[in-house]
Amino acid sequence: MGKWVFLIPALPAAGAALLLMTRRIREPLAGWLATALVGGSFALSVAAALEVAKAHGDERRMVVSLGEWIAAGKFRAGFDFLVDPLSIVMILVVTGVGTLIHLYSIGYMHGDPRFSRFFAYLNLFAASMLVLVLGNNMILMFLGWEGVGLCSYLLISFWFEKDTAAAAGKKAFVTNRVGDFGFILGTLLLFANAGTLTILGGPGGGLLSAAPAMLTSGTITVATLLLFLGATGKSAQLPLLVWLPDAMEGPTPVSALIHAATMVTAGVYMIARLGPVFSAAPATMWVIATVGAITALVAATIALVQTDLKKVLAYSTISQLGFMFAAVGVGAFAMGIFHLVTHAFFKALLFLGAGSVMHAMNNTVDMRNFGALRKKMAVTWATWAVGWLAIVGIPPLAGFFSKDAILAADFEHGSAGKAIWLLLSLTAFLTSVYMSRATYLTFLGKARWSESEYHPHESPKTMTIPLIVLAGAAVLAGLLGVPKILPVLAHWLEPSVGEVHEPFGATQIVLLVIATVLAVAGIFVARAIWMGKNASERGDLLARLPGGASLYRFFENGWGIDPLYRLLFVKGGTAVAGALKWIDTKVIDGAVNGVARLVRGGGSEASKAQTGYVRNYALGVALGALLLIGGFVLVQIVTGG
Amino acid sequence: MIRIINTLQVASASLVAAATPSAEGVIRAPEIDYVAIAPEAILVLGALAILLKKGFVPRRYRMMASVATGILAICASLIATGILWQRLADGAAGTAVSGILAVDGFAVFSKVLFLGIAAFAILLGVPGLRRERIMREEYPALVVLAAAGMMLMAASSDLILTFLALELFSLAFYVLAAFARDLPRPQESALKYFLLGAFASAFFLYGVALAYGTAGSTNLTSIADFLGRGSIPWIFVASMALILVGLGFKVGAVPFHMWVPDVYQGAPSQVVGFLASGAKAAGVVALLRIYVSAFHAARPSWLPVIAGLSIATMAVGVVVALVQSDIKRLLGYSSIAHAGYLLIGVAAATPAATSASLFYLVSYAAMIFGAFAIVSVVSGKGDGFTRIDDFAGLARRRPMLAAAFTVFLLGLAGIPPTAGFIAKFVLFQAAVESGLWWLVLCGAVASVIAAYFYLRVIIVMFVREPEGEDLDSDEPDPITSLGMGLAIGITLVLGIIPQALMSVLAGADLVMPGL
Repeated sequence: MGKWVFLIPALPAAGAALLLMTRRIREPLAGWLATALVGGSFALSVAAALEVAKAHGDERRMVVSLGEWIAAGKFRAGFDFLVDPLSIVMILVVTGVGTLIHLYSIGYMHGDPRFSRFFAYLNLFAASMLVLVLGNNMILMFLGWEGVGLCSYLLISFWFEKDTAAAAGKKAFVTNRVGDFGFILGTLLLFANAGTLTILGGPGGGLLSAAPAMLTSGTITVATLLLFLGATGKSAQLPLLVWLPDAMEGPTPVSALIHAATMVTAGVYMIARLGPVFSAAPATMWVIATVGAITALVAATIALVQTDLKKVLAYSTISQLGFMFAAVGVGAFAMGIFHLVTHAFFKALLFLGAGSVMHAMNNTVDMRNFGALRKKMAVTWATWAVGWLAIVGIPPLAGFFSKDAILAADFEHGSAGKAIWLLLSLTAFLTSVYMSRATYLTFLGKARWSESEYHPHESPKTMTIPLIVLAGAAVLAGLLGVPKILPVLAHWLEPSVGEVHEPFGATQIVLLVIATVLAVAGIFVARAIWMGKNASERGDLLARLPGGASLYRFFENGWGIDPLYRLLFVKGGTAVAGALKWIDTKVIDGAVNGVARLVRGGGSEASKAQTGYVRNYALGVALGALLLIGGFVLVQIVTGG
Repeated sequence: MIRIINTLQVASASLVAAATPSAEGVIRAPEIDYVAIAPEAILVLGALAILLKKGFVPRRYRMMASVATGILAICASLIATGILWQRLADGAAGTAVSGILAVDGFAVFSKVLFLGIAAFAILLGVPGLRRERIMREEYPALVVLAAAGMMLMAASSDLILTFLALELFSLAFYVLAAFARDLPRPQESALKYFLLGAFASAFFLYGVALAYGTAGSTNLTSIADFLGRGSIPWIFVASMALILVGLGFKVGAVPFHMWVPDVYQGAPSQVVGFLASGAKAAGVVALLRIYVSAFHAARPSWLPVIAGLSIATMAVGVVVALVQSDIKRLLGYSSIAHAGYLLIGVAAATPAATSASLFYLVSYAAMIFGAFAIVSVVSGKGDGFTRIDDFAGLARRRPMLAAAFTVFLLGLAGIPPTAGFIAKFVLFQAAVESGLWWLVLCGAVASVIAAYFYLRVIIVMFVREPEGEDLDSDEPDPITSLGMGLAIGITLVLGIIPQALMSVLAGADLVMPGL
């Protein structure tokens, strides 16, 4: 593999630099330029894929080095890219879906005063994401990891005139810091014990072989748990899922690209990338699978009661990411990546479809004001229907194969695995219900908007072409992983993730049938509730069940997670900071004042006021000195010196 | 002060007696290695020239002449340092002037760092102070004198010289802190700084005296030998504590931090960048030289105390910063937190940690200079607008300023691709390598909290509507813009290609005696 691989992230990076530095390039040139650059990266990615395909076995994992990046003491990190089947899949998805969404944005962002700035950020995002997936050491990966995070905040609060958009960006930033804290500590722990942060190659063969060999089971469990904390931040899993629904304040193409197709899958990718390391920590793996399954279910119940179309899709994304974690958590890395790929197609499609609807409906997102839009927007409706049936899991669309691969993989893993399978099957049923609900409320049924106020129309070509292409992908991507007959992706990934076991027999066929029945049942349940005569009034049927009202509110509040965090961290944090400030100014100074008074033998109030700060501060220094001497003495006594 | 000076005289007399043994009882003058002292000597001569030329230069050219002399002195000193570096490259590391001045990679690199800091102080300070109409001819003299003192802090191989260096740069700093002499607040904070600083220095000196009493010498090499021989006497333990008080005060470690927010708020913004980066760097290099190198054998004794100091400093710094409403106080508390991070590097006490600390100091200096340059521009005349609310809507009024400030704040928060991230990472990584993972854990928690208050400022700049009338004073002049551009360049270049500096640090052979 030649050094030209560096051009893959360099092209969009150059675009970002150019668009940020000059203000001359305006609409629409900025959009076309940015799209062309990401398209160029896509072409190069295809070339890289072909080159990898030509190699055999372990030779399919190639390290391309541009030279040393950081060297400090024993620590070495090269500017190295790892080009292997896994990263090839990722760069194809990132640049492929990325190009389509860039193209779509040319139409969607038409007339925005910061048009070229938007494309600069999108290009910067693409470059960072490509560095993340190609980086052959944890530091380079973290560079991309933070880069995509930064672009995500910038794009969430792109319309910062809206207070909610600004607050959402801030929330994403802060939540992700908690995750990054885990990522960095996990990385440091790996380095301290394995002596390297190179993923493949270098001393000890890189982390993939050195970490399982050199770390004790306790250390590797802690390290992988910390890394997983990082993954929950980026991929919006419990307990750090709160930022993603708010992130929908950003422009819709951003939601499609960053908050559905690519960035949020970085956590799944990281675990698959470090597969052998995670596999050496069985306890962590179960945590991952369990967190994934529970998150999938929780998010699906919340999606059930949202009225904002984009929020439905956001919670759906969280839920689908939960599926992916449930897959990689049982070591089914190939299945997790398979679902990552199909999800990238159909969820990007659904988001862009939602964007097309909003574009037509004066930026309304409340589904209660939609209905019967299929007549006005034929292309949007047809492509949305493909995405809807794909995520629901109707054969032979993409979601059917990838979701069933995960369900089957979990079912294989003992009784705990069967419990996860049960949770995921329930989630799959709920997925079918909430996605069908969104479809019925938006495209079918009666129109709940007036012709005088809204003039729905089909979107321009730059928007519909990406929809059509993505719909095609959502139909065909399933062919990458037809079990038994055509396990293309699993086979392709084997050099990266190890041998893939995909048993196929009577059990698996039964599981397939169960999943399909659940999916179809979900559609009919939704149809019965939301397609009836008085659909809009019966929209919250759940609320009318006995005890249903409180359950409805519970789901609507997102299981109380947001209010709890607000109480714990925002209010609690402010209280702690206030207390510390009080201690800093009142108690420390107060103690000093008290001592000062003692020393003076109780001077008058007036003189106390006049002696002022300096003497008391000086006393503080003196007390601090005593504290230090005391500390030293204590250490001497303890160490017996 | 008089008492301090008396003590000093006694101590230095005994030093001279100790340093120059002679059979006949005749005191021989130490042999002076002029190349080794040239960098500092040039600066001191430059300062003298600035102060004395009043009588020779016509009034209207005086300001220009003193700035030019300052710049000239810095350049000449840089050349002298380069010659010294060349000598090092030929393999002549050691001590000079009767063993009180170290000539090693650590000292020479630090000298370059301090000269850079001084250059920034003139580049950003002079136009800013002129705008404020508080520029005085003495400013360049104070800057170069302070630089000489800080350079000696790094090079000193004798505690007495360290003390002299400490006082030299501190005295310059006290004056700079009071530079806006017509306003009451700067006067108050400067006086406070001066009195407390003198007080802390007295502790330092007392520590030196105790060290002399036990080890029989104030020379760091001799002390290292003494400690290497066996157990540590109790008096020496007290000496380490007292020296730590003096240096802890300079770096702004808790509980010796009270002056930091007051002085940062009170001193003119144009000089705070200098005070912040200079005092911190000087304190840290002295800590590295004294504790990591000379007191290395006593590390089991001082490690828990310095680690505790580090944790307390980070905790108070980041948490109290959360509730600040004044940008200068916020940066003050943030700089306290950075002192805490830097103490992790001292605690780690390895060559890798030493180079990581120097990397950290370089990037911190660039970021804090840049941040205060922006504060000085935005805060306007007389530092009137330093509330965080005054930055509301800056992104709309001055997009470039807001973008630049964002770079510096992200750097201070330690977020890639800025130098702040790499600095923190290599520092933490070196600490983990020497087994201090628990200290790194505290550092990581602190930086998560810290990210929040830096972000708050960014949000205010980009999101909030500007309050009140549009200020037209916040247009940076070309020289200030150049300085900011340089600071941004350093922040980003070191973040993207850190190797540029790291290979220098690796090649500079930072190993000091005792390590």
